[in-house]
Amino acid sequence: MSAGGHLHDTVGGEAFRLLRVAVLGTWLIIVASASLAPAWEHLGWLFQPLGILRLLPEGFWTAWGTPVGVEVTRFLLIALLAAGILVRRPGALVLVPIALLVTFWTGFAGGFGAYLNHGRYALLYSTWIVALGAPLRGGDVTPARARGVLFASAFLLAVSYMLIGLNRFVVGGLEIFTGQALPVYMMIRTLEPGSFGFDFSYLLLRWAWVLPLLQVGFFVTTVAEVVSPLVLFHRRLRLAWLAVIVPFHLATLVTMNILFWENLVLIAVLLTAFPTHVERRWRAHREHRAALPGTGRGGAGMAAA
Amino acid sequence: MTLVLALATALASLAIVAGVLALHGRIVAERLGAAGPAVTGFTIAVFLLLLGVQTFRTEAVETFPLASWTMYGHPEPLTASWRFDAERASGVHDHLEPRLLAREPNPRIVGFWIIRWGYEMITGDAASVRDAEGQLERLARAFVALDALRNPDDPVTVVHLLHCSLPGAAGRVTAWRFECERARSWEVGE
Repeated sequence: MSAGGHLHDTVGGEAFRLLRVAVLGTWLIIVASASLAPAWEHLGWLFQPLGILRLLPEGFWTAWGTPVGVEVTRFLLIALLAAGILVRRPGALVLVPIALLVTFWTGFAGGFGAYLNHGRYALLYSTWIVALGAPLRGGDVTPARARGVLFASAFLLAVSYMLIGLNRFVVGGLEIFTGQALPVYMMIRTLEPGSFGFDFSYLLLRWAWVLPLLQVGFFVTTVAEVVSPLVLFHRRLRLAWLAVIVPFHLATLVTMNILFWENLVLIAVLLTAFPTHVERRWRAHREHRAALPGTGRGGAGMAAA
Repeated sequence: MTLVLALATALASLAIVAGVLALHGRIVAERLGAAGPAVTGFTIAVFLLLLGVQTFRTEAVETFPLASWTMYGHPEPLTASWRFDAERASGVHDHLEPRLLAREPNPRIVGFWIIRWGYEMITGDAASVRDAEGQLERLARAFVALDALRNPDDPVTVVHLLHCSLPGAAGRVTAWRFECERARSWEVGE
């Protein structure tokens, strides 16, 4: 924790870089791991452009919408994401097109049966914040701007959690915690086809005493979600929040086959002191290199002499 | 969501954010100010969009997929229409065969009923959650009936449906396969 007492008080350009690599790297894994060409080939008739994709002219989908077109776009996006990660200090001129294409790809994936993967949206917001926060033509990011970018991303992540928690309290009421909503949803998610295949809920719900514990945990998690914006400013609250939310995300994996791994990546970068440690290590490494004979400014000067 | 609940959510959200600003407004202004006008504008715009969607979610979620956060935490997932995750399906071909979906005139309906039957069988009896295995056997029979009605000539589909419907229960499915085949024969009148 920094002297000022607030999150990311002492970070600089390297923390910005860490966020950029984390965000683009997460997208790279997402895009590279699933081709949408089979979906387009078999279920193209089901596709309906959603949201801002409706702004595209009808002719676009006819011209672009072939399995080859989908796959070429995917590989283009993979290449751009890799470039965005590997180039040392890309500017907004590189990152904004990447953000645009990522937005398009996410909307396209959601166009089959209106499946909107809400686990990706904090990631999408962060992508745009990083893109808009980078210098136009690349180069160093000032520490103040880096802190601002990390704060803006963390703020939207926290607000998203807050809105989810509030919605659950207001719409679900207490009944959602005391009734059958949780076990029913656990069983539905265990029955549904999915990528993970956990059937832990079968075992868990056979024991009558487990359900009240899960319901209490659900309530505590929702309270933590509601107070999320405060974790940006209070260290102890943030630690308690992490102690609730991270196990919650892991528990949903084994009981509901739901994993918001994108959020876990963002939490690690935005709501822990990880960027501060990275920054500190990087500075130490740079100072160490500069002190070595034949490297850095001093070394170069000596070599020239 | 009724207007009263919507406004309650919006007011609660605004109250929390206002509280945060009252306590830490200087830091928020300093940080966002340093991030540049584009980032500040984007952050405020997304916040307002999320707040608006939270308030008027039924129409707005359809209009603004960027704000689909609010779908999370819905107390009754099955009241929403069934959604097809194309990315997930493309990653689990063995479990959710695209050929099967392509052949079916309306995959949304089939998918919905697969889930819906599991839901009904489990919630039909409050104690049944703790007797999941018996319910699953009934569920397996129901799937067989569904499949037999749709395509009586393709026994492979039965196994696919069972596997995709009961992830993690592969061992039990294998043991049930003969039973399922028998039930299927009965359903199609063989």
